[in-house]
Amino acid sequence: MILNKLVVMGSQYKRTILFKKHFNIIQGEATSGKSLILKLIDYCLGKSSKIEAKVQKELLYKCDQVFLEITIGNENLTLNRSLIDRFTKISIYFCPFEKIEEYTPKTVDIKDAMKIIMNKLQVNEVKLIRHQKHSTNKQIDTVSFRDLFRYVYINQHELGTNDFLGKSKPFKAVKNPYAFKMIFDLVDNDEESVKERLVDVVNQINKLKKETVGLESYLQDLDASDKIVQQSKLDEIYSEIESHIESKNRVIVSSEEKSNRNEENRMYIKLKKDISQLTNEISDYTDQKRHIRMAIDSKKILLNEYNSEMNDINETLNINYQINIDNQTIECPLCNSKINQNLHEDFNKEENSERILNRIKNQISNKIKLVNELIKDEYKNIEELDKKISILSTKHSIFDGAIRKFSRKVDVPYLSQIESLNSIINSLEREKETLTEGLRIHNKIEEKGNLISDLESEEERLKNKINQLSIDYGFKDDIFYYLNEHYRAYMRRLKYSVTEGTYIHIEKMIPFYEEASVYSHDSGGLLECMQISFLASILKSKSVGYASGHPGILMLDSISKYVGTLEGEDKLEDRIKDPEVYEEFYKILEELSENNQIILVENTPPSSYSRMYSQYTFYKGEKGLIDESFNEYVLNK
Amino acid sequence: MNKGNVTPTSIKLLFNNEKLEIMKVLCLLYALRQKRKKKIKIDEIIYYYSLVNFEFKSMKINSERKWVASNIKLLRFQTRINHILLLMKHMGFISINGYVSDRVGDIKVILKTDGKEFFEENESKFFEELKENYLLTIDEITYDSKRMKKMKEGSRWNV
Repeated sequence: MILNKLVVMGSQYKRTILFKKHFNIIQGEATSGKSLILKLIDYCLGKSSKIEAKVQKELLYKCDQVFLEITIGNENLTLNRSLIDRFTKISIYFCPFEKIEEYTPKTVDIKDAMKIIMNKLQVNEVKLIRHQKHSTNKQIDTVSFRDLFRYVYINQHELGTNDFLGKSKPFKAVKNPYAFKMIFDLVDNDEESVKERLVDVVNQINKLKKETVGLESYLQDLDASDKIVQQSKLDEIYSEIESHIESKNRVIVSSEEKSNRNEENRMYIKLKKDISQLTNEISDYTDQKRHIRMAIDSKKILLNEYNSEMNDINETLNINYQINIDNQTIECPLCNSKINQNLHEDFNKEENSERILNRIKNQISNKIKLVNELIKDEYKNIEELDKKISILSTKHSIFDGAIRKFSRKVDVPYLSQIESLNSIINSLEREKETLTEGLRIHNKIEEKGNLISDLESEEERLKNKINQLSIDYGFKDDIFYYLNEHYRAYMRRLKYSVTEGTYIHIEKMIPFYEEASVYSHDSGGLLECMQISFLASILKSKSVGYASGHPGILMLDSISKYVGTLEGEDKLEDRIKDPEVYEEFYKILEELSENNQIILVENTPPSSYSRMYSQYTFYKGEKGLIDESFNEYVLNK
Repeated sequence: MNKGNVTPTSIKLLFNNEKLEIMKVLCLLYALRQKRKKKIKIDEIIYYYSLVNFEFKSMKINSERKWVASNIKLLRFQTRINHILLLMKHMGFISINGYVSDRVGDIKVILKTDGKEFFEENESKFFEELKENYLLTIDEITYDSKRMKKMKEGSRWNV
């Protein structure tokens, strides 16, 4: 990764700070804004805390956003972050700074921006399980680009102190060994996540295979398993439908033509009318007949009634004199109470009864006669109707014969032909639909098959990765051998006696001097040397292919802090008294800058280096970072 | 003469022909007597009388014998049977024995010799046929109180 430029921008002010690929020195006075440049780079690369307005008054007065253009691999990215609001978002333009007008940025949360940068660096983020703050619960913590960046940017409050690599913040410091492993590609707990992903992939493959089996069995049920057969059937059906539609059209056309024969049509219509009229008349007569029959039946029933009534009257006549119902009182056999006979029927008086009964008998026989007469009449009516019906039926059959002969000539029933063609076409259409459905399913199966083969190749890759993840302890040993060698070499150059106790700890991954770690010592000068040697050895290892996860940048702020100057200072024991050591720092940095980008912020660098590498010199007040004479809006006009 | 009663006599006779009814009941008792039944319950009288006289037609529906009841006539007869039996007793044709507390349908009726003789004297063709009908029916159908109930309901029932 290489930093190309930093641009601070406001509505009225714009300034670009350019960085060279190798050694950059930014020199200047205190509070001139030189450290601010490093802080702004840190801000663009995802620092969670914002730039304080009360501290950086000039900056926030004139600028509201900052851009950082970087190159990763062979890709140019411009990171943009606002200085005044939306502090949780970074906008990424996938282009150089000049072209941002033509691009729409991807605005994401800081976390996601870090993921994107890590992806570009081709380093995987590592997930850790740790306890939540103030609780026994656990949570997942991600070792991200920010943790790597602690090995890149050492600010002036960390360099030469026990706060190296963020040690004072325990939640951050615990991630340092993992960050170190990520830099050197020594991560072993990737295996868990790879296994997780492998399980995921295998499950997906199984699911897709099941779906495919389901679809295939459905096809079998449809009897459509062979795609080629299906396709050919479909083509056949298309052509059949075509031909049927054609013949239907022909029929319609010819029927329209033939209906122009007017005279024949009129005769035919008349015949049809006559026939229907005849049929109606016949059915009318048949209905009438039916009604008459019903009347006859009911009259017959009535006749039966009258006959039985007649019988009754006859018998009553017979026994009339035999049974005498007299007017006396009757005694009840059960309770012996007397009952009065109430004879209010006057025929019980003997004189009248016979006469009355005979009269009744006559009445009934008259009725019977009447009904018989009526029945006779009805039968006559039926006969007449029968005659009429037979005449009409013969007429009807004659007309029928005529029309049959006629229609053989005329060829009229197109309607039925068209109807039958329509039904054929409809059934063909339905078949076509089924076939297309089958083909769609075939395509779906193919799609799933492709997806399965993609997933299977990913499965292979993941399996290989797991195999490779078994830690090559030899590899780790090699790395630390190299690192220790160079760490010691740098310490010697910085005029420290190197013994067995001077090394980089293989587990804690921090530098030791005389068996005490960088967090145990007090002396600022010693700490500074240890820290710079440590970082330098990491960078140096990049030249032999180690530390592929390191971005290849080193940003240092004020290495002269713990170097004694000729003007008398107190606490001289903490200081590096030897100006040669100070020079040595620069030599080391210059060497490293051949293959890495070094950005150094310094009050007074040695003049030789200052001449070669210092591009920017800031002064206090209005000649610092915010300098109107460098305002590009004004300059470009 | 008729005091506002305008029904013609022929229609009155259709509903209330006491002499004929007495003769028909007598005929039934005679037929039952021939079948060795001496004491006959009034319910049985109603039962057989209705079966024969009130057009209890047997119809073959779906090759099953179903009896179609004219239950109105039965119920009307039920209201009249008491009076008819009283008259018959008064004329000496039958004897009725029972208590006030008895259920009417269970009271038994016995045909007397006088009644028997009277019937034999006045038997005409009509009554001969009627008697034959009674005999056939008594043979075919036994008295069953459930059937009686169904006849009163007017529903169809199987033999």
